[in-house]
Amino acid sequence: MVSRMMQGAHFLSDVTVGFGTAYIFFWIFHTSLNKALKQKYPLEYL
Amino acid sequence: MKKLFSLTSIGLVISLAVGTFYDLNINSFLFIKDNQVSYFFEHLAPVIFATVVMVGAGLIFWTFSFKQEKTIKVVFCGILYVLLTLLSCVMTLVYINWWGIPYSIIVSGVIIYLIRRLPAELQKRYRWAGIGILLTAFCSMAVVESIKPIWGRVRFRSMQENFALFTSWYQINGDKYLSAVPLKEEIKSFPSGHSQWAGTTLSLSFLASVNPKLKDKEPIFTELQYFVPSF
Repeated sequence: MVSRMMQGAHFLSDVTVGFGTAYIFFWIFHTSLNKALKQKYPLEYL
Repeated sequence: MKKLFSLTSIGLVISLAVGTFYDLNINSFLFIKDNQVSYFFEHLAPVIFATVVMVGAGLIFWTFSFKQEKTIKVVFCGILYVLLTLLSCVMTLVYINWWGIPYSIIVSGVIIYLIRRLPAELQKRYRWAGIGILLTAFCSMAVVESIKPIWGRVRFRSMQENFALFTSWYQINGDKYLSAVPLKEEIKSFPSGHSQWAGTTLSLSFLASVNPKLKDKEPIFTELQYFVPSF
């Protein structure tokens, strides 16, 4: 992210929103995956 | 993990708030023309993204115990695996030229070897992790690539002689500044695709999520992933 700003390719807001988009989807699928694991294997993922 | 999620969210909001007011000042301070370090990371980010996709694709196919699964399921996942691995190979080819071919072959081989060594009782769970990795990678990529042409924000490097082209991140421009830049690529500053590619490395922590023995170490695993996007 810092390297892209050094190159003048993006602003701080661009890299924040770009990373933030990946982060939001990571959070969504992380929550879904953990929910599914807890339902399927309740004793192993307490 | 909840603490880590909260801290990251707060950090992103603060970063966006700072960017809202000081985008131009920060870039004026950081910008170094023809900077070799940034060129290196420009080429590294897509290679890392391609590797993440290769891991996800490998997990959805090579976690099958082929004799016990339905043929149609194996064939479908096999086709998906081949297509995604080829896509990753092309991506590395574009960014690191012919080095992309040996890189893709070696990485694919290592991934297959490691996946086939996973404990049989955990293989199905690792397939779920693979699906999670691919969904994170492609959903975020679809959103970012859809927004870019709509926003039409001019890149900092393309406004060196005319700072009147600067717009705030929340301003939608469309093709308004297309005539002022040499290439259409130069009005695709917002949001950063490279940062999104680097951000998808976070999804590799799903590999720790699905393993009950590594579950407690998941936050450490995720924190380590933050190093890649920050560069």
